[in-house]
Amino acid sequence: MARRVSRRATFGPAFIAPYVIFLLLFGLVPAAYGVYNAFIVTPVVGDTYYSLTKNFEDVLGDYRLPSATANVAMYLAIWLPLLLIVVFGIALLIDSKRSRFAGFTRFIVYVPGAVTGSAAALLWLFMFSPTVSPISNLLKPLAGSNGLIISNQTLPFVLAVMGIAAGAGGWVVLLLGALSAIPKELIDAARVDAASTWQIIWHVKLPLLRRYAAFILIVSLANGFQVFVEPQVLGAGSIGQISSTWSVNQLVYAYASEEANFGRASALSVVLLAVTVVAAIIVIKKTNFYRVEGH
Amino acid sequence: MKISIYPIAALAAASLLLAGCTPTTPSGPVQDPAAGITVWADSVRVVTAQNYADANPDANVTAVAVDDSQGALASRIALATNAGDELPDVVFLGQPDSIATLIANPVNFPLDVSADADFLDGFAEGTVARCSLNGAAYCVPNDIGQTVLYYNQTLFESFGYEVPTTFDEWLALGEAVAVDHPGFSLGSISGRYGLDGYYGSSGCQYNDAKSATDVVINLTSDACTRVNDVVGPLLANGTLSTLDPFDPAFTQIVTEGRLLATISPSWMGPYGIKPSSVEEGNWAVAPMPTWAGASTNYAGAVGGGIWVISAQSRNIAAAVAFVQYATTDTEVQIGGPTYPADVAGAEAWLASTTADTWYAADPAPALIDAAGKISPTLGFVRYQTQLIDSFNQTVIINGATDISSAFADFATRAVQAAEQAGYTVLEQ
Amino acid sequence: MIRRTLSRAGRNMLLAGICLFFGVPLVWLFLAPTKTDGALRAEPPLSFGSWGNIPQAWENLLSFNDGQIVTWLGNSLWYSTASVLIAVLISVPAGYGLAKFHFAGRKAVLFLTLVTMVVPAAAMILPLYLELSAVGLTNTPWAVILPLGFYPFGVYLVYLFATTSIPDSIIEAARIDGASELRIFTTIFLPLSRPSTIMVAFFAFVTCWNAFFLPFIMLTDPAQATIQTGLNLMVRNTNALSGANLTGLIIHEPEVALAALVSISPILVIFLFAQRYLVAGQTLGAEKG
Repeated sequence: MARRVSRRATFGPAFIAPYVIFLLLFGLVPAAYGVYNAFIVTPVVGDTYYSLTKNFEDVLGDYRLPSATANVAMYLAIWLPLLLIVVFGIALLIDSKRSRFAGFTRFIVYVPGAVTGSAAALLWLFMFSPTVSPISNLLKPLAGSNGLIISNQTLPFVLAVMGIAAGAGGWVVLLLGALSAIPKELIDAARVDAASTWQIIWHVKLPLLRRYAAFILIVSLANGFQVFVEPQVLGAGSIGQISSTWSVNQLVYAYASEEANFGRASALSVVLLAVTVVAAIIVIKKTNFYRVEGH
Repeated sequence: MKISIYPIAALAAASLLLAGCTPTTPSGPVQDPAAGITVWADSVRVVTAQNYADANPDANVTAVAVDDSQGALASRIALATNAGDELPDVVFLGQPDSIATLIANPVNFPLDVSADADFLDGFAEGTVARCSLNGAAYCVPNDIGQTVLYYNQTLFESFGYEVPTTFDEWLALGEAVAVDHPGFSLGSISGRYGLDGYYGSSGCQYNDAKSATDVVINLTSDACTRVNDVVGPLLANGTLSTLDPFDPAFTQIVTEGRLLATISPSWMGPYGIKPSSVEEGNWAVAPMPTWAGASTNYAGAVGGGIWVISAQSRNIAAAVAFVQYATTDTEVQIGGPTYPADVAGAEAWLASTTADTWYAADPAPALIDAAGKISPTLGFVRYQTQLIDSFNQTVIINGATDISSAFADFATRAVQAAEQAGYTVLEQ
Repeated sequence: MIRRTLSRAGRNMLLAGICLFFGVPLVWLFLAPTKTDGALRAEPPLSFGSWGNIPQAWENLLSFNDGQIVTWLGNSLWYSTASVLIAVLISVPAGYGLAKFHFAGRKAVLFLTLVTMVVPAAAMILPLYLELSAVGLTNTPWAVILPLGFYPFGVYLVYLFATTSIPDSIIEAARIDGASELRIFTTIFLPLSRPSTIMVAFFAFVTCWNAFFLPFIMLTDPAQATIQTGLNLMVRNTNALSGANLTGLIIHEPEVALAALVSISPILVIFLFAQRYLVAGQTLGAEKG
């Protein structure tokens, strides 16, 4: 018995060892250096120096930060709940009865997320330009007086729609995989007990997806706090209609690329990271994310 | 390709050592007359570099096509500087504002060419001064996007309008058009086109850089308010568009023949208007109108690429030789897509423009006139993108309803942007 | 009976609505290369142009840097495949180890993995560049392949699947039978977790294929670019989406749309093939004997 216990104790680390090397090399060390970089100040003229607070002061006092923060908060408030509802709704719908049509829907849902970069910019440029868009009839009521769909009021909704169209597919695929692994016996047993479809979802399927739901929530929170791709792509497509530092992460990117100021980029990243990690910890604690059977 | 364990181990060791690294400021390297040079340029000018490389095999020129959109090159060079990697010897900036980032810490990239380059005198007036700070010339201008007045001569004749020579007349024209021919447009003032084309040409100071740390921002001067007096009413009556000139909704205006005239850079005609309005014999070019109270009809500038030589280059002579070729060689200038900054080159280039039957009349005189009159108040600053953003968020969105407060908004943000970017804001 | 028919009709209507929402952009993308640039703006958005425009658009794309788009596709294929191999080889055992074993530092590794997943990418640019530059790997494919082999999301996928769908009792049963840990992993865990392994491979491939930041900063030479960075280079240089096209190349929106379709087709093709394997078959049964 003792032999088996000690065998188990060494084998766990053995399975994770190659991964831990990569985790260190390409995850933790760069992240640590990134944090360290937040304390290096590169003034426009003069020598580089260390400071515990200068970069943070500059970054937190940036005149663009308040509106960027407000934008992200509003985006998150609209996008996150909608995304979760859409993702779970679609997954459960497709799972409830596996048909060809359902399988086809799963494929279609996945496609917009596969379109990235310049391709996405092209797509959304045309989607949201009222004169050439296939959904122009839906857009016309929203258009402003200068013919632009995208104003400061409609921006969070536009971005939320983009974010859901692009982000739902992957999660749906993941959830369907998880749902498919639910033992058929459980579902059949519930049916025998005359449970309705809704009751089966609520009492059988969802509890078994607890960990997946927590994971999706954490990652989506992070993606939401750090929203970058959607406003960036929209800016590339619809020139001049959205600020190039609409979100906080875009501000980070602007520090790194336009000002070549990696110290400030790191400082703001540290702030973003802290917010995300706190949110993640809250979700982890509330859902007992790391509890494994028997411990 | 073998994967050796050593790089991995070295990586781990290096990572630990990195923690103790401090970036150092570089000093000029030893010159090697036989060293090859590397040129980074966009798709268009990389062809020039490749031709030069082929024609001069001993010079060992490597031409690399890069993405030179705003910020991309500067960050790449900054990364390479930080890591101590090989830097390019010559770089072409299609968006010249990036040079402001390259000049400052921690990049310190550009070479002061004022001593090395005696051919600088041959460029249009003001173009070299634009990227000079404190007497040091950090770039060599390649082409310029001087703003001029494009107008549809056919429409002007049929509507009975005179081509404006002052901005007061431009305002009057806009007001007449809104009443007599609603739906016709006097062009776009989105982003750079409005900021640099209108406010810039008027001499309104928002990016007048005096050094890497000093900039003059004076947004309450007459030079600024006289623009508001023109832009405000024309935004309100819809003759000036808030759309980007290449937005599908705006190009539709051009295709439908509703673009009457526009204050636009010199390249806008062949590349912005012609693709949507192919019929020949309609469009002509007039000199920039004069602002009320100004003695010269200064032009703004949108675009206009520059060559920058690296101060770390090991063969500065070769780099200068290449840049001289790229900017003054007649064949290269004639083959260029846009108006050359070199005066002699421009003259040669204009031959094909004069011969182009798309124009109703020879545009050369107006283009030459504006080339040497780019407003000296236009400079390159590190917060240019923020300026454009702020302009779009204030004047473009709210200018139609209340131009004064929208512009005051812009003024506040411009100062904040400058200070955030490490500038001291001077009043004059 | 009526209720079932109604609910089935309701279901199908919902599905149809979902397909419309997610599918309209795709339909537009498919139709765009069939039209010329002018027609794209003038004709109704979902109209069909002509088949002949598609080969023409492809030829136009090939005019950029002598058909470099093909090189980019090849590069993307090579980098992504190599990264996926690494990612799967290290992530699947790691997820298994974290789910089924208890050792000091297990929670720490899980938590740190999560943290690295949420670190903003912009903060990692400089450190990753310095790291890879220090060993001379920048401007080589390894600068892209190695960092992308680190796939924490994949570790979590396997971890979630293992903790949710693979009961400990199966593993215990095998241990009592005297099987070695390696044997348990290969003969029991891997077959049962095939859906999640394939999912890791698929998502890893998509992540690598769509990666932009990393290849953008690590690779300067256009000949080494991936399809994502290459497309960006092409669009920026020709200003195909907005701005003056000074290159003289006929690359406008239809060409970009065709390039977009070409760039997403490998993912869609692989997805179509992998769909079968992304759903689980029997999971239980081993325990009952």
